[in-house]
Amino acid sequence: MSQNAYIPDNPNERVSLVQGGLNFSQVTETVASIAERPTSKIWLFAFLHAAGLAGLVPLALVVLLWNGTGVWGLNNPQAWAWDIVNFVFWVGIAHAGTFISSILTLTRQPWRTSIGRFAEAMTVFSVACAGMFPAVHVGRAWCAHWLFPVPNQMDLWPNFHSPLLWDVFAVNTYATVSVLFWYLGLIPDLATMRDRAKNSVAKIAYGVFALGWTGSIRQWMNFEKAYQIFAAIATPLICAVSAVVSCDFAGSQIPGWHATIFPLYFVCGAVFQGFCATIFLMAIFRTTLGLENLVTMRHLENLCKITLALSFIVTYIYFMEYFIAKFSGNPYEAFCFDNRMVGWYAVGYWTMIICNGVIPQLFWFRAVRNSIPAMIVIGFLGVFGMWFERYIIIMAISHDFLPSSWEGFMPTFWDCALFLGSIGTFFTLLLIFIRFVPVISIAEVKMVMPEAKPQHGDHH
Amino acid sequence: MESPKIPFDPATAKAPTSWKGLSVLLALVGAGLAAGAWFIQKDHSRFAHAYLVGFMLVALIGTGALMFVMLQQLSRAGWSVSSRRIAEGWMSSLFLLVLLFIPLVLLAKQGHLYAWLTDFGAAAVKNAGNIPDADRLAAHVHHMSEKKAFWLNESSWLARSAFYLVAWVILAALILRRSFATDVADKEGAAANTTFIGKLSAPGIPLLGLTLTFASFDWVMSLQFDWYSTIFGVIHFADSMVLIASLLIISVACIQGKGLMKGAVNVEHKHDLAKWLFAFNTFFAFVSYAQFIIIWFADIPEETVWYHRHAADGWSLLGWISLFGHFFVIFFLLMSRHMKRNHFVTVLVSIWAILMAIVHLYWEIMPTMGYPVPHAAGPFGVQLADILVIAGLLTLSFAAFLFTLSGRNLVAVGDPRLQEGLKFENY
Repeated sequence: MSQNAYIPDNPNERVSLVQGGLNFSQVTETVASIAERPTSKIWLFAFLHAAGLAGLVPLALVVLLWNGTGVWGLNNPQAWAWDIVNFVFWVGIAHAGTFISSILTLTRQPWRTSIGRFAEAMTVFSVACAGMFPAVHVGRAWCAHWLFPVPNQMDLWPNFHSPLLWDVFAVNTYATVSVLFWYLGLIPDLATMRDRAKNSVAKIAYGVFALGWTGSIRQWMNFEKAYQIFAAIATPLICAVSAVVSCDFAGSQIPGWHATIFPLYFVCGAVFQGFCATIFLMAIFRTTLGLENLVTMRHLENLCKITLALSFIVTYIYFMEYFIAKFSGNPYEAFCFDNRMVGWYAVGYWTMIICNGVIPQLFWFRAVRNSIPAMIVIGFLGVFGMWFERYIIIMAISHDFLPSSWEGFMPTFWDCALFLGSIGTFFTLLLIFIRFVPVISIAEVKMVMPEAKPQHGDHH
Repeated sequence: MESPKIPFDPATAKAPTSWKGLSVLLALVGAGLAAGAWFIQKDHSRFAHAYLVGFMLVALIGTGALMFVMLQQLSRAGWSVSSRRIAEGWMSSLFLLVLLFIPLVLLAKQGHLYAWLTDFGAAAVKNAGNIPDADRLAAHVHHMSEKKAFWLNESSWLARSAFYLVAWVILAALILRRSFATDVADKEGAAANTTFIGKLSAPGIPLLGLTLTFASFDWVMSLQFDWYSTIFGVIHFADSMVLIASLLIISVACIQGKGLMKGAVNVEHKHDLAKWLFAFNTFFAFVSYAQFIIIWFADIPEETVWYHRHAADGWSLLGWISLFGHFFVIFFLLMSRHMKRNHFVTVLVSIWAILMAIVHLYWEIMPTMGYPVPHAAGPFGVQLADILVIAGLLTLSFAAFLFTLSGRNLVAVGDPRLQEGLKFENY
């Protein structure tokens, strides 16, 4: 059977999550060998391009810090503009990893084991990209520490009533927990890499980060307990971080921003975007890295189904916003949504609707859920559409209560450079991760294999 | 204390046929309680609002059960197979809801519920006498009647309500039929029925989500017709899941107390049901708080008007009870694994959660009496007739549950994933 063939569902029998008849040692070999084999030309090619793109970040930052935020296309009323679009965009991508690792752990979804590590890495690198934007957006970046609850030289504290301050707490907490959660899951696999390492440098490097893991029962018990606790802590954090980001907007009185559904909107939108990104990258790297037996079509199909469900939820929210804008009788709200549909940003609005609401509906069809090219395209369009969602939300302010202040937004070269640089940074970090760290949790995959069950082989 | 694990005894899976007679008796009691409330309650507007509380309670129980069953089937869950039939029994509230909708329509048409159904309360405002800013209120009412009549009018409200009810009844009937069929089918037949329900659930879940949202708008949010909240439907969805989790825990405890379903639902399953209750109760708090904080923060008069009305004249007490009772009490009681595995605690918390869901509905609905006239609901107070009508409708819902499962298997004995579900353990 082809490794890309549909795996049928039979209610009488659970499908094995590892295909190709791999045993424990073959699973280890499949995953560990990716980091052990010599650097491939494809990896080097991709890395150089990503790193080159990432090089735009220091360049754009130097220009920004030297000249100030005037190099961007900011204006009044769009004082946040492009920068915050990209902040919310990266925070969104950061949601899939922790969602897969925490909520799917708590709901005992064994199929998450093959994709969790990769998605967690995406989370960590996305949060790093996201964190950069508010820090430089303050204009005087050398005063970025004022974001934290410390008084300035006038002895003024930040406004604790402001969701912008809550953002600082939420994003930093999320970043900390995501990194620790990711690292915790890595420990047994780093020990495997340490034990397999052929040269002493690798042995020491993996050994330091493996924290002396020996795989004793006591260590496994502590590991399992810690993992569950982290999962329980990370789950409300997923909701909290996006909900807090949403309050930056919903707490205002601006039409198109002020809606009670915004916290849920941002959480679901972020998770949808994260899943789209996971599908897009998993579908590519699964084949490139030879992981077809561990990331099977069943895994990808499950991802597609969850993405379809999330697409329904974000579409439901788009519809609720529109319906309530009309139902409310509030002329400003109604105008805002009409303006989105037919106004200056109509192209962005309809891109959002088509990419996030319409195209994912193709996942209703089994043939699409089992087509790697289709997944790559739909996953990419989902990420693309979600960027436009943030763009549309934030640009809503271009037409506020005062027609005299209406103004459109046009990004400058340096706006685009910083965003492209952040994409390069993300891929650079991802490629380094692939090169040196097991991309799939070897230990966790083994746990869900039939051989791990106590009754395995008992036919009496 | 944790219940000991015993093997599933299929001989105890069937409900006695005497449940049918009991259900008829309970139906008479339930109808009697509601009718009694009508006779002792002189204020028919108050009766109508209390009736709506009971009606929404039955609606949330039925839709919660339907959503629970569809989610389990769509996600091919194993853990819930042994308790899923009980949820299917509670889906029968949706059939009852069709009957209960008739009195609701009659009460609404008499002008006891929705001001928009007549003149948006223009006459009431005019006749109310000593209202501050009476002219401005009259102008506001007139403005709203012009803006909202496209949605809030009798014929479209009836058509939409009929659509919600028909959609729910069809989904529930199809699932029940196929689920009962698995009990007597062979292995292939049972697998085919399970697959069918799973496939039906895929479009069924978004359909239920949308219809429940608009039912919440039409039946509850429109009581205060000038107010709006995009998350209002989600709050009711969350409450419906809290209700069904609580009812499952209580139902299983009562049924097993009668010597039925022996070993089918053990401490592991109850632990998971308690997790379900904990998760959705926290979700309920999240969405309710989101609604409050965003409205409070922006302080826009068109929106704060809802909280003003629901906090005036002592009604805020219910809001505080809702905050502490619905969220904090349940959250802290069920946080620990040991508590979630404690039979006594989970049953007690479930009873409390149902009570809190009723308090929340009561708080949402009752202060809107006499809307849009300010303070028309009068000072906060719970009257005997309110309790009677809510208890009556809840009893009718219980009667429908017993009637549906009478003589049926209480465990889906033919389900292909039953054995997996019986063996599962929380790690």
